[in-house]
Amino acid sequence: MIDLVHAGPPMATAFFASAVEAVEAVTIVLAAGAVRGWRSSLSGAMAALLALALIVAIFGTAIAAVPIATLQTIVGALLLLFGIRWLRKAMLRSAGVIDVRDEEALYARERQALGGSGQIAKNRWDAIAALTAFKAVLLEGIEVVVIVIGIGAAGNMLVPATLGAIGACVAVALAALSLQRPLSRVPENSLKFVVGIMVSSFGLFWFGEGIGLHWPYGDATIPVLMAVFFAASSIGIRAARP
Amino acid sequence: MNPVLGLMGNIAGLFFDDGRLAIAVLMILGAVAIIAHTGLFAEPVRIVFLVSAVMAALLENVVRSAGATMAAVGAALRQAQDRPSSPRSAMPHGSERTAHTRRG
Repeated sequence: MIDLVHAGPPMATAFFASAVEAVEAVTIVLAAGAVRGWRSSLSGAMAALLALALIVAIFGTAIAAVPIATLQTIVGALLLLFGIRWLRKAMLRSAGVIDVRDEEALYARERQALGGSGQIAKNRWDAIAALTAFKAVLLEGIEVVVIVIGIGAAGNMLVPATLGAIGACVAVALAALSLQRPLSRVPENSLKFVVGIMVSSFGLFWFGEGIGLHWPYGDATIPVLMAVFFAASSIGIRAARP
Repeated sequence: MNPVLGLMGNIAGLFFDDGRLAIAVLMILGAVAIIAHTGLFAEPVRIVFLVSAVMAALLENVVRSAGATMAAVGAALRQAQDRPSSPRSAMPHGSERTAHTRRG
């Protein structure tokens, strides 16, 4: 039985982070499928999912052999780097310094790039569509794997984090299948902002635990760290506004 | 470029978007790890240093990046006003404003 009080934060973090990544991957798979053929695009996506499963199987087994303090230190540092990268970008977008990601525009650009070489026979095997979908799903999937393993393994919450990630990927895939168009209504920048805060907080917490810091109130420090990151980010957005 | 090297570069880019911020964060983490290992300072001081230094690094980077991007855009617009060409052609290629629209 999963304890929701402890499992909730990692599950929610994995869900939202995976949803953002899945939306990005789906946009490219849809563009490749619509322009160059669904068989090749979906084959590329499936091959990437298999590669990801292999990565998870290899790293999941290897991680079990790493001492917990070392694991928390390394994973904490990686999660912090990862989360702060998202947070920085979301802050710059919120401040109006860089453009907000537009899935519709990205979809149109990707379609144009894939269809630029003239007439394409959609029923034939198309290596470009397969490779494009493979690369997109693999890269976005690696981000999901990093978050799930990072949040799950360091805190002994691998099952809830995995469930959150799978739930998000299935939900996004079903939505994309039914709509057959990019999920542009997903508030991606807001999600990235929230996930950046959550992942950075987990990273900072696990790194501290790994090097032997004793956080006041234990796990309850994580929401406090999230609040501190939120406050600092809000100040940063105001300071960065042109 | 070799596709495998390109893919590895993309994977590294998942963690190191802005090199300066990544280096600053790694230096802070390294400093706190050394302090914790040597037993310098009381634990609350280490925690406050870790949290506040990471926040400061993030804020400094965001404000500096914003300033640099806006300066580049301003310079491009001034250049466009000086020349009778369309403003679109004068946008700073490779600046953050354009670079970040490509990948999430």
